[in-house]
Amino acid sequence: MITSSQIEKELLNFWIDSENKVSPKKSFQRIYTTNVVVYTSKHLFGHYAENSLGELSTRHPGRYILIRPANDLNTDPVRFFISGHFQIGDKNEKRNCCEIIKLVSHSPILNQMYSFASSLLMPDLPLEFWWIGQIPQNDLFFSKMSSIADRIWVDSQIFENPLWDLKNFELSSRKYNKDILLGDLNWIRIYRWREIIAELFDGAWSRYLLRIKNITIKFGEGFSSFRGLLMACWMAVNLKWNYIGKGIQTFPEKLEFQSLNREPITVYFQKVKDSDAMNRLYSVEIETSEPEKAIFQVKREKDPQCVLSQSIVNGEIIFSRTTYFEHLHSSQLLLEGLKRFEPDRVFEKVLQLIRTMVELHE
Amino acid sequence: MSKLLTLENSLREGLGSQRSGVPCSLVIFGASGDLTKRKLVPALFSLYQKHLLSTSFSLIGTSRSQLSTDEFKHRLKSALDEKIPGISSALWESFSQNFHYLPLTGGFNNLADYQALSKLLNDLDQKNDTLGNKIFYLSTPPEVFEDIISNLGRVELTREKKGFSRVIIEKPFGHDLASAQMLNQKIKNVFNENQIYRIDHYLGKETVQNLLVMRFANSIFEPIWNRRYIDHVQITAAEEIGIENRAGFYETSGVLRDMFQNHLFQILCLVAMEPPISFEANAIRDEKLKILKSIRPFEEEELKTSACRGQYGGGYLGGEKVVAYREEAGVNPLSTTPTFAALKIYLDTWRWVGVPFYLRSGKRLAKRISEVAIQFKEPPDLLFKNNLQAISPNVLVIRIQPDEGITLKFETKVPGMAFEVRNVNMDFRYGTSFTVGAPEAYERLLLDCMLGDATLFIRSDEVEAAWEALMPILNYWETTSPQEAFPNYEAGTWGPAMADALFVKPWRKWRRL
Ligand SMILES: NC(=O)c1ccc[n+]([C@@H]2O[C@H](COP(=O)([O-])OP(=O)(O)OC[C@H]3O[C@@H](n4cnc5c(N)ncnc54)[C@H](OP(=O)(O)O)[C@@H]3O)[C@@H](O)[C@H]2O)c1
Repeated sequence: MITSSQIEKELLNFWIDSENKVSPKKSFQRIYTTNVVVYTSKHLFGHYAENSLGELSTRHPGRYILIRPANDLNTDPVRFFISGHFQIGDKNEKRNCCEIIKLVSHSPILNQMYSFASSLLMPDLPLEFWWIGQIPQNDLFFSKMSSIADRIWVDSQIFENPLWDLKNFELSSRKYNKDILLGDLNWIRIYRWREIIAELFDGAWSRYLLRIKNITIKFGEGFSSFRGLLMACWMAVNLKWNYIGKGIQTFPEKLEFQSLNREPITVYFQKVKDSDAMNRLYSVEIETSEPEKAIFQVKREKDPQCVLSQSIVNGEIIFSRTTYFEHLHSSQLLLEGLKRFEPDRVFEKVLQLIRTMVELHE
Repeated sequence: MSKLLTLENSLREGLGSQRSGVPCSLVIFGASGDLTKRKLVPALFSLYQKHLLSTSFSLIGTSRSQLSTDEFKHRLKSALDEKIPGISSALWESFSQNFHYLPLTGGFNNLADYQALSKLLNDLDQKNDTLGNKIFYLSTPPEVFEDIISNLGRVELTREKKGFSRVIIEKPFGHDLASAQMLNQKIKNVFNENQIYRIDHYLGKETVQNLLVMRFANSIFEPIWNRRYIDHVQITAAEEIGIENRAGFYETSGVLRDMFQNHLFQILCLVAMEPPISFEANAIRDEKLKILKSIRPFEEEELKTSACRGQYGGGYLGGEKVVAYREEAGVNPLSTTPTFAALKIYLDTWRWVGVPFYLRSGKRLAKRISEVAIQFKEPPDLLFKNNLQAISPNVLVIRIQPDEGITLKFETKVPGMAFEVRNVNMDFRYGTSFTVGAPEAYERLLLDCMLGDATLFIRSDEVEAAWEALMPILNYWETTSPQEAFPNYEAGTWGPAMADALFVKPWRKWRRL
């Protein structure tokens, strides 16, 4: 039987060994700022999780624990693997390092691994739980880990039915822990879009917010277009619009809201055929009502790494800015997410809005 | 620190960039110079990339050099490229679209130039909606500060009729107490104190700000932060570089003016001050001022034992030969300007009476390092009398640069049958424990000024109190020859051996860094 003390002992030996091998001799320092437990029951995602953690651990020192299913049932039911990771850009005499502990188990007992995972946690540090998969109705690992985690992460991009899953995200996680913080990597994917759109309305420009009439959100044709919907819900939540459309069951073509001063607002979703833009947001165009009709738009440039934001009033470009936009991988998204450790109230309101929209249908 | 902003843009809610800059025009005097391209524009670019620069921001560079706006932008771009390679032209165009250059026609004292500046600011306000907000950055040698300020007053750009008008003043602020008082007076003739932002870029450094958090957000440090537990404090700001090509400036200033009056004294204040009643700018500055005023005045006799000066000779740094200070271009071959100083300071406050603060700073020292070391009193060694190695005191080190972090040195038992004790370090490294890199000092300070947060800037009374404390040493050194003939330390070492004589008690000595 494998125990957590056995793993800790192997880790200690591993680091002492590595230190002796390195030349010129440098000493190591194991550093942890957080615990990250990652769980997936699918082989395909197991690989992806391993790569992501490999990258993350070189930027963010933590105790990483990955639980994934075994490929081969002829092996021991539970096996563990450890790997050491150094911080990138660490030029000091002492090198900072941390480790990933991978627990591989046969599928039938995979979700029993929660107690093993918990025994490997570093005391007193926050616990981030990344659940890779659909939101489960009833899963032992999900419920046990949620009950002790400080935050749970999902990625709505990989949900098969994002509306349904996001509707249940909060309820399912908070059933076991009412204080758990909620995070979605897809929500972080649109963070910079939100920032760029927000800055178009700073200062005197904020007066246009009350006169928004139509929004057109274009996205690249792919399997997940859900980011556009998150974007629309974000604006609705922050600008306190009421949802007045019908209940939705699948990805809608448009959404209808009512503004604070009871004006109708329609959000249209359009697909764009562009291989570069697959799954991605392509543009967001916000149009205000007369008089002084204005258009605020953010769109991808030809260079897929840049977006152009513009404010156009009465047909004249008043403001224009290009922003550099690097594509972020999952590990970078999670890294962004880990930077802030506080409830994301706006995201929670977005989840509530989605729930309202779906429940209207039900 | 004051919570400001953000207007009524509710889309900002929940975004990390809530502390984003307000619309404004930034006017840089001396924009053809080194600071603008090396520090200010890279800082603005970083703010821009983080969406912390308002969309209505504009920049006006002005100086005597006859440049066109395009030439000005070209210079800035070339300098930025060296720092951050690979900025696309679209991105640069977008960042610099509201940059302008206004060449001065008659030095810094021609009223017509200021009238032209006023008109340009007005036009930009109309065009970019800067809400009439303006910041004047004095990035020139101090000789022209007064001209700039009085002319700004004459064309009423200092008045806050519409929007704010603020002035950022670079160091050095004055040459001595009298000149600092005079400069303060001149500025206050046209600006109110709350419009004036005297910069000390050390205060923009994350670890310096962290001193406040460390002291006042943790309950374990404050109870022992006093004369009962602390034996002494060492503050070091060592530089590897020499005077580069600033001989003219350095010959007339020297290390006390360049490093002590501002940076070292500011750090001293943050280490020693009482808890402020709030994190508002004036509450913090009130407490810092008390520390500066509590510095025990140096008597002439004491100066021989409490202050040590030095000047570097030639030597080797990183395996390369470097010349003596007196051989640097533009330096008087018989110069007595100190490039190193070490002071022993006592603070006459209830908390610190009897605790010496040792401050040292110098050029061409062995390595670049700035830190604060709090050395605690030794425990009674009764129990470990037979130990071969003496028990060494606990030291808490706050490293400011490079490799910012905190180290606690404490004693542990060496594994084995004997009862052997040895000290070990417990390390916290700022850079690795957070996923976010610390912003550059100028980035933080520019943003704070846009937001009207003066916490990290120095108030007039602080500047004057710092000069007042330093004047006896300056006067003494300027009227007497050094005890030891200059040069008295070799480049690449830790300064003159005489600096060790500041320590009287045998257990106190400079930390080996
Ligand atoms: N560079 C740094 O890293 C640094 C660090 C801390 C503080 N500072 C302070 O920041 C300020 C600016 O620094 P800097 O390095 O940019 O200075 P600088 O390059 O020496 O001077 C800035 C500009 O001022 C003008 N100027 C120079 N000498 C002048 C004189 N005697 N009379 C009138 N104008 C003169 C020049 O422009 P024109 O010939 O075009 O008029 C020059 O391009 C100084 O007060 C300095 O002490 C600088």
